[in-house]
Amino acid sequence: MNWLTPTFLFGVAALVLPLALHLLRRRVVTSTPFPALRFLAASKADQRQQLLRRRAVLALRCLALALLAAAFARPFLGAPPAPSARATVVVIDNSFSMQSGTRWEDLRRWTHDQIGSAATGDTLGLLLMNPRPSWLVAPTTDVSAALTALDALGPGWEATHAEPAVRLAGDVLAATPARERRLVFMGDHQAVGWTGADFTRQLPPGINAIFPSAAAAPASQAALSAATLSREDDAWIATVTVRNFTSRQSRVLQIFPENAVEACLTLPLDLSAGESKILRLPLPASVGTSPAYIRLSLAPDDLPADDSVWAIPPVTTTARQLLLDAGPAGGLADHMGTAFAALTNMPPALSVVPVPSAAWPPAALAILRNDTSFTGEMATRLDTFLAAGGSAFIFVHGGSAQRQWLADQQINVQPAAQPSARLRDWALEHPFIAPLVSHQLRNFIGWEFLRASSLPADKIEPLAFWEDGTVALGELRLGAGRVLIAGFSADRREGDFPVLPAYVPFLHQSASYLLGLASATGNTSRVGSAVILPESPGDWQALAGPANLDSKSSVSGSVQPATPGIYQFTQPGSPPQLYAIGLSPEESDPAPWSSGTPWDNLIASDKSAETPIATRLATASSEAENQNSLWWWAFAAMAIFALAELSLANRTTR
Amino acid sequence: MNRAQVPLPGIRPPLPLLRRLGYLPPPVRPLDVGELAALGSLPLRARRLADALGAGSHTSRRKGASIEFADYRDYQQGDDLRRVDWRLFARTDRLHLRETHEETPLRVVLLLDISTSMAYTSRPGQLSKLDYARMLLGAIALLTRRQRDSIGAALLTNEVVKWLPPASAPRRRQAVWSLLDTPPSGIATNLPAALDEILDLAPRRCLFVLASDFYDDSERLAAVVRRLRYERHDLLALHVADPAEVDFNFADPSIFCDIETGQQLSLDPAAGASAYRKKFSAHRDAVHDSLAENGFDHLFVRTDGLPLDPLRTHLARRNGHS
Repeated sequence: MNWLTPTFLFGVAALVLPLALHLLRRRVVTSTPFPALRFLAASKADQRQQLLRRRAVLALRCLALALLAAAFARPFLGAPPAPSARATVVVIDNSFSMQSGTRWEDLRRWTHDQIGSAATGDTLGLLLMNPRPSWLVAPTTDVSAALTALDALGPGWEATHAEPAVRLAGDVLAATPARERRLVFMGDHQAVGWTGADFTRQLPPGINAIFPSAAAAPASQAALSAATLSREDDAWIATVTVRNFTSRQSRVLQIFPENAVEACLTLPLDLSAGESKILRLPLPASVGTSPAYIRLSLAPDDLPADDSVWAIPPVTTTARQLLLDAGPAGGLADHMGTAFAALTNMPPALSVVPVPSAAWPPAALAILRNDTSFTGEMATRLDTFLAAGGSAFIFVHGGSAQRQWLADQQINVQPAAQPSARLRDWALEHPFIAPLVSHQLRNFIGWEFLRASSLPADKIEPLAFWEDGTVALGELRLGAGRVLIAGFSADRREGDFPVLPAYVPFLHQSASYLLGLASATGNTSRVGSAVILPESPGDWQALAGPANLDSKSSVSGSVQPATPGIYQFTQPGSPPQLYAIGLSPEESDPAPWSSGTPWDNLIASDKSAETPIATRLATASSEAENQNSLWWWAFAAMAIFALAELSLANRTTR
Repeated sequence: MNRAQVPLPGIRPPLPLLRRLGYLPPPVRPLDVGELAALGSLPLRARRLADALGAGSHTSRRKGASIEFADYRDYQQGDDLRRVDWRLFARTDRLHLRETHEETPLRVVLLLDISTSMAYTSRPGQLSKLDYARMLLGAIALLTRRQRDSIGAALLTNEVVKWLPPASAPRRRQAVWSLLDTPPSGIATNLPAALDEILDLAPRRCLFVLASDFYDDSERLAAVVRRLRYERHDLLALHVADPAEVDFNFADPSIFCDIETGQQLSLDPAAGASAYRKKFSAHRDAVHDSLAENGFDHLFVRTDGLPLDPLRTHLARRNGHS
C-alpha cells in the first residue's frame, strides 16, 4: 500500500493522547470518602467486564484516529512509482509487411537487445500499432512476462499506422516518473506506415526514442488485391489486380475453387518492374456452376502474406429504396440528392425516389431533412413506416413540425448554446462509425455548423458530441425501425458539411448501415475494419485463410476480422452468408523510407522543458490513487469505529 | 378610525422603581437549600424553614373535657350525669353523653443521628446530611414550641448520647437547638440499639421525629419499629441522603473509603454504579416498608432539595387536616 500525501500519517502521533489519558486514568491516586461502602462491593466479573470495555473503547479510539490520519494520507493499492527505475514502451508494428523474410525475427531480437536486463522497478509495456494503438501488455514491472508475451507474438495482417502509436507511447512515457524513459520502435520503417506523419511535432521532452535501421527491401514482391467473382454469359469471371513492387519477374497465378488442392486455372505472368495490372480471367467449367468462393494465389515470394486473395460470387440483391424528401428551396444545389444519385452506381444497390404521398414502402430508408414529412398525414405515414421496420436518417433543421414530432417521441431537441458548434468526439468503436474512421480519422475532425442542436443523451445512443459535451449525432429505435438523428442540418447554408471530403462516404455508410446492406460489400471488407452483421447473434467461422478454421464464435452487429480469408456467418433459419476479407493493398508496398531518418526529429532536443521528476512522481501517484481510491473506505471505517466508540463509551462512564 | 378613537398606550412604570419607593412589597423568592446553607447558624436556618413550612395546631387523638364537640355516645351506668345532653334527651327521650376533644399537649421528641456517616457531603460548601437534618429538626422544634407543645430531643449514635426529656418550658426550644448543634460523634451507627434505649427513657405516647441516614440492618430496625407501635408511640422518619449517595455519578476510578469503618475499596465507579443503585434503592424500600407496615411515615429527603410540600403534607396529616 502506498500513500499520496504521507505527511498526514504524522497525525497518528495523536494516538498518544487517548493512550496517555487511558494510562493516567488507570493510576488511581485519589481517595474518595463515602458513607455507603456497604452497597459498593462490585463483583470481579463486573470489574473484568468494565476493564474489557475500557480497553475496547481505547482500541476503537486509536483505530478511529489512525484511520482518520490514513484517510487524509490518501492510501492506494498498487506498485509504488519508482523514480530511479527505467520505463520502456515497445511500439510494435504488427502489419503483415513484417512477415517479409526474417524481418520479424530480426526486429524482435533487436528489441530484446534494446530492452536488455531489467532491474527492480523497471517497467515494460508493449503497444501494438494496428489497426489502432492498443496495449498488448500495459506497462508493468513484470518484465519477464512482458518479454514472454513478445516472444509469443507474431506479425499480424494489418496495415501500418506508425504515428498514432508513437504519440500514445510518448504521452504515456511522459507521465511516467521513471528516471530513464525509452520508446523502442519495433517496425520496418515502411514508407506507407509513416504517411501523413508530422515529423515537426516532437515527442514530449525527456523521452529517448530508439529506432532500428530501415529494413532491406525484399528482392521479390508482388501482390494480389481487389479480387471479385462475377457471372457473365454462363461463365464465371475472376477479376484481380496484380502489382509488382520489385524488379521484373515471372510469376505463376493459380485459381482454386473453394478448398481444392488442384488449381482450376494456372496462368504464367510476366511482370515488369513496378507494373500493376487488372486481370479478367474466365474460369473453366470445372469450377462448377455455383462455387461458394475461389482462391487466387501467386507462387510465394519474399512477402507471402499478400500472395493469396479470396473472392465470393456477388450477392444478388434487389435495389433497396431510399426515400429522399424535397431539397432546399430557393433553387440552391441539392448536394444530398446529387450524392445519393452518384451512390446508386456503387454497391449496395440503391434506388433513390422522392418521399411518396401515399403509404411509404416497407424496409426502405427515409432521409428526412425538412418539415414536410413531419406534417399532417405525412407524419402518420412516417409513424406507420417506422412501426413496420423502416429506417430513417433525420437531420434536425429547426422546423416546428419536426421538433414537435420528435418531442412526441420523447426526444426534446435543444438549440446549442453557441451560435456555431464543432463536432468533437466520435464513438469510434460503433459499427456505423468504425468503417468510416478506420482509414482516415482526420476527415471527421472539426465539422463546423452555424446552427446546431443538442440531442437528449438519456434517450439516444450517442455517436458524436459537440464541443460542449452534448450529443450531436445519435441512434435509437422507433417502433421496429432504426433511426439516426443528426443535430445539424445538411443545408449548405449552415455549414461546409456538404462539401467536406467525408460527406459522400458518410452518406454512403449511413445508407448501408441503416439498410443493413453492408454484407453486399463482402468482397471489399479488409482486415481491421468492421464487417456489419445482423443484430441478432449468429456463428462466425473461417472457411479459408490463415485463421483457425475450427474455431467458431458467436457474434452480432459487427465483427472485425484479424486475418484475411473466407468467413461464414450462420444464423438459425437463414442461409449462411459468406464474406471475403482482404488485406490493405497499400501495405504490400515494401518500399522503405528513402530520404533520411526523419523520425529522429521526433526526439525532443530541449532537455530543459522536461517535467521535473518530482512532478511526474506526484502525477503518477495521483493517477494511481484515483484508480484505487481507498480513502473513503478509511473514512467509512473511521465513522463506524467512532460510532462504536461513542456507544461503548456511554456505557463505561456511568 | 380617527385619532380620537386610537387607544392610548398603557403606562407601566418600572416595578423596581415602585418597590424602591415603597409602593410594592419585595418579590417573594422561593426558598432553596443554598440560601439556607448561607444562613450559617441553626436558629436562623430553622426559623427560615419554619416560616416557609407555616404552622398548624396539633389536635389530640384523645377525647376528654373541653368545649370542642367530638361525638355522641350512649349513656352507660357510672357515667357522670353532668355530661348528659339534656336537650337531646328532651328531643329523643334517650340519654346520650356529649363527648369533646381533650386538648392535651403533644410530646414531640426529636431524634438526631450524629454518627460519622451523617457528616458526609459530596459538595464542598453545601449542607452535610447532619446539617440538613439539624435544620429540619430545628424547624420542627420551632413549630412545636409555637403550638406550646412539649418538646424533647436526643442524640443517637450506637447509643443515646444525650437525652433531653420533653417539656413545655419556654426555654426548652433553645435547649433543644443547643443539643442539636452538637458536633458529630465519630462513632458508627447502631440505630436499633439507640432507639431501644430511647424507648426506655421516653414518656408514653410521644411523637418521635427521627432524622438519620438509616445505614443499619433493616431487619433489626424493623424489630424496634414494632416496639414503637406496641408502645403507642408515633414516628416520623426523615431519611436523609446526599445526592452522590443516590445517583452515584462518580466518573474516575478511585479508592473509596468508608467514613465510619475506614474500609477501603479501589473501584472503577462505572463498574459498580448500576449494582450500587439497585442495592441502595432496595435498602431504602426496605426501610420504607418496615415503617409503613407499622403505620409510620417515612420521608426520603435529598440534601440538594427542600421537601417543603411533603413535609407540609405530613404535618397537616398529623394535625388532622388531611
